[in-house]
Amino acid sequence: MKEELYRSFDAYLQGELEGKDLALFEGKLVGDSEFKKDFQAYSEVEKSLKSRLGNVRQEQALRATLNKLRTQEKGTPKGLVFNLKKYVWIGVAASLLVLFSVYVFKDAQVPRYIEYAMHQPLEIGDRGTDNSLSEAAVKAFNEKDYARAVKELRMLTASNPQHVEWQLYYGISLIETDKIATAVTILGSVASGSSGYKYTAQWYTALGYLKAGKIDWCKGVLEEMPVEAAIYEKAQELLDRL
Amino acid sequence: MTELKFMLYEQKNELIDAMFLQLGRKCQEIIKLSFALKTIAMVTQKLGVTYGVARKKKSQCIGQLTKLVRDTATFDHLKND
Repeated sequence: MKEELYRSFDAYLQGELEGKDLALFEGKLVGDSEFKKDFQAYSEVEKSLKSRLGNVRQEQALRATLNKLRTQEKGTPKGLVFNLKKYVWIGVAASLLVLFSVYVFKDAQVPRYIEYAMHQPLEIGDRGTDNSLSEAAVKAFNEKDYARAVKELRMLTASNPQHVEWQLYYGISLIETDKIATAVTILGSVASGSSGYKYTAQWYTALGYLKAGKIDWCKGVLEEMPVEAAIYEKAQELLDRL
Repeated sequence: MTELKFMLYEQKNELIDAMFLQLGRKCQEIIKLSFALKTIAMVTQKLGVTYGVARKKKSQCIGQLTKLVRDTATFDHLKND
């Protein structure tokens, strides 16, 4: 059933549908909301893959354009608005200071991600990976430039899907850049595997949930940490504090 | 607005890349070849399968990837809280 659906999506996107078939397809797009949702999702994924796997230059051009637009926006003259903004910012800063004081006082006992986010440095591997790529990833991660690390490690994991260590550090970098949803998915696959990194990945999954404020989910992952895991005691300590 | 669009573009690609790694090796290969090579005929040659099979597998694999991405979207509220 789904196979036929995907086949028709592909045919439509390739411009192969004609006459009756085309009319039928477009009629469903208008009249069947579930069909439309399925198609839109498929189409988005297809476009994303096409733009990046199919034409690297196109991707680079798009990035360059977006970056240029961002720079232009930042450089726009602000005039009087700037002066007004200054007072607004003073007000915001004062409010934040008060809120921060209240927050620190009230939540002194609640564990925070930052207390546990002590990452082992990443080391350059020798498992047949592109050295220049892995060096860039190692440098970015160890210098805590996590946005850069995400980019470098994404490329490394894409070209070395079996390299579990890259996946683990990719997951950690994603947590650091607040892309928790993607992080827990990556870490989840490492945690359910059989590598030596599985419990570390489980630990970081819990930390991801902690950072996202999903305390119950964090507890759930910590409770499943087995006694034989090296991180077990630390996990128990965090669990006790939650 | 442009900043937001850029972030969404990056996030969407990251999610798709992450899910791509969850696909089987065969699916990954078919998708890569389908977009990297100019024609599906070149893909059939490279994989040693018929045109029909290559097309079918390509749409199946993209469909499978789409499903993985959509299933993960249940985590979206993590970003919005």
